[in-house]
Amino acid sequence: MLTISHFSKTYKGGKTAVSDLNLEIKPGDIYGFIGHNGAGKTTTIKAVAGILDFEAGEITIDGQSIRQNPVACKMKMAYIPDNPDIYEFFTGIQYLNFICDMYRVPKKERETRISRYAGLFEITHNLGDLISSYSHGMKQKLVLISAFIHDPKLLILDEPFVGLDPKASLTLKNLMHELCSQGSAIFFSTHVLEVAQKLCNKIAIIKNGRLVISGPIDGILGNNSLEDVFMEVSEDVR
Amino acid sequence: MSARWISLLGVNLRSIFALSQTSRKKKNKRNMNMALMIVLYVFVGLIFAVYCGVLSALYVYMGMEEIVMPMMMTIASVVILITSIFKANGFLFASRDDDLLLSLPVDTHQIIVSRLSTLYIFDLVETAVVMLPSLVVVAVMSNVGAGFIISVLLSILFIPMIPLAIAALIGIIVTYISCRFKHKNFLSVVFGMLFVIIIMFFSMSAQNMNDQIIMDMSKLLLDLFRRTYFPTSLYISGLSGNVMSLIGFIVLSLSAAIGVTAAIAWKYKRITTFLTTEKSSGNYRMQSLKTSGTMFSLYRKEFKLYTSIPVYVLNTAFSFVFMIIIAIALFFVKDIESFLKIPGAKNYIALALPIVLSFFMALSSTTYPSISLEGKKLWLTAHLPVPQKQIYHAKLLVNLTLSVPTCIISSVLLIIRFRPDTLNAVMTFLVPLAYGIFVSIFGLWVNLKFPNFDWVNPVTVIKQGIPAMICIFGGMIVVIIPAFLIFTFSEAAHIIYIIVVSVLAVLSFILYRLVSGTKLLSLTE
Repeated sequence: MLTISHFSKTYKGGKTAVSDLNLEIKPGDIYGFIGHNGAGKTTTIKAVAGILDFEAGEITIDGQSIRQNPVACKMKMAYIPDNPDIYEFFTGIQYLNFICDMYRVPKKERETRISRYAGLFEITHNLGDLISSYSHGMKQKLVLISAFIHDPKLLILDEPFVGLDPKASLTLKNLMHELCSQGSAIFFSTHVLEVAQKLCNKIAIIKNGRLVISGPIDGILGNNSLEDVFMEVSEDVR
Repeated sequence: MSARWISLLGVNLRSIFALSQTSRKKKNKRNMNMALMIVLYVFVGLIFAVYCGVLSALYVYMGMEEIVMPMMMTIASVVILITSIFKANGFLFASRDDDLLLSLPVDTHQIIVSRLSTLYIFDLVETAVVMLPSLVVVAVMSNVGAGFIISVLLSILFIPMIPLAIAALIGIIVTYISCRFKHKNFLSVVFGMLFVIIIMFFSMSAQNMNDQIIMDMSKLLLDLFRRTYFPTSLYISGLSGNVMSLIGFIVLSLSAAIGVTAAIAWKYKRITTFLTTEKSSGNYRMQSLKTSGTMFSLYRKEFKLYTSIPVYVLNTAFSFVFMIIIAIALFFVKDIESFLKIPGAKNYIALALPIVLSFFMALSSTTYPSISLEGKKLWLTAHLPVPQKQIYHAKLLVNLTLSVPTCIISSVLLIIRFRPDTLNAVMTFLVPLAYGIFVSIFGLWVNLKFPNFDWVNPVTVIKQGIPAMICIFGGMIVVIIPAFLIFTFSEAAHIIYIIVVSVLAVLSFILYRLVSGTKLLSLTE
């Protein structure tokens, strides 16, 4: 579903954020992407999401290059940043309808899906209000709904659980499992290692722009916790 | 405690002059952009300074030196009043850093003083640009004493205070009334425009009353300025050597500034709360949804963004509104020469119609802040699964939605009224439309070159910054040059108009290609 080959990103000024990253995510994977602050997670995620340009390496979604066919790739995926600023001059329903227009979701499907996901996240009654009146958590929920309603093949999340109440967090986890069981893949970064350990079937740990470990979580952890492995890997590389 | 408002003032100025820190530009490129901005401000300032100097020299030459400084003071004050109505409101209230600042141990007065000081600095520069050249002219060409010069120099510091205070008060009134209603943004725009039109009407009416008697007697002109702007009486008396009057003018100015600051600070939290807390009903029921194509949906989103920021609408739509008003006024006015105060105007009005309409078209563009206004939401726009061109087209269409109908309505009215020949009539449509298309694309291109995503207040990117400067004054220059040629070589006006349309078409095409080739991704670094 997602193939990252020899991806490197150096910003103007000479700072290398990511160096020679290789990763493959298959349909059905929930792939956790873990690293310390400034490790290169967000750079990688933004490059995959098609919102950060890069010169070295290749990123393909379902066989299509994000650089050569950005629109086709974006149609298949959904991206949620860690602090989603969205169009606050829309009402919630106007925003969701706008997103559905962008992803060309047919009328009947969009009504069904919005109704379902808004009900699951319990914000149906707030959809008629301006987004500017929403709390942070409500905005987070709205953005999550906007990601699910067009049935993405690849879901990219950057710290998705921040700001969500416990019930919404559980709802999100269930929806992630549901999406993957339908053949989609999820690639998400988080600092909450317990969640990653429970949710993910594969993980990758990045440090100082380099991938230090990746693969099925069972093989990596053995009898250890993800926290132990992460701390050990961080020490080794240092 | 006094140091805090200075720190906050520094933050405001950095926000205005800082350029897209998210793009991680090299330091020398950022410095180059800063230098360009300073050069632009200096260039524009020089043009106004020369104009004011020449105007002052004319009056001194006619033996009316005593009206020069009052006249310039009145002009500066009225201009500051009108322009500040557009920006004071948006700058004072509902900034993105309100939550942060109000949570800090900083007195609300300090926050208000820092914001008013930011506006004051820009107004002070505008006042100096108007007053200093005139003072130099008067000092060189007339016999004025050191006391006069010192009085004028001292007064420059205080002239912006009263108009800024009035504009801030009008802004509060407009905000306080409109935020009680559902469509508060729309009402803000309507009230704001009404105030400006009323001020301009009274300014022009005051002039008309005196013009009916005798045009060029200095005593009556001084009376005109007193009618136009009330503190002028104190100012005139002060410049004549009455120290108490000058002190009175300074005290009045300071009182206005202090009084308004206190009034705003007293009600600041309430007004800000009104503005930033939207009414939420929480009673939505799922309804049937309408689907739209991606292009129309993007356009609708851009238009919603446009109408959601009152200062954005006020700043860009006013020129179009004024164009329609002028067209309607000219349609009904019988004596054109008397109305325009230009002898012989009726002989060449038909010839001038295209360039006059073009002036209004060139002054307004919604596109020059449209990229910057994406702000922290740029990720969302960059991630949409649509061709980039559609995003740019949507932004262009907003400006064309305003400019094209305005141009057509105005052109039709003026063609019916003045009955130009066929070629002139065609040019009356074509030339302003060409300008409208050009400034739309030009504004977008400029903003792609000089984006600023780190603003805390949208006024920063709408009224200040490089794109605003380049587009507003660039637009004026692009019209003034052909206007000069047309009035100088009126017999070749048709040829000049054809050349203008052709040049604008070519430039628009080139800029469109450049815009289309600019990746939004390059702005997200």
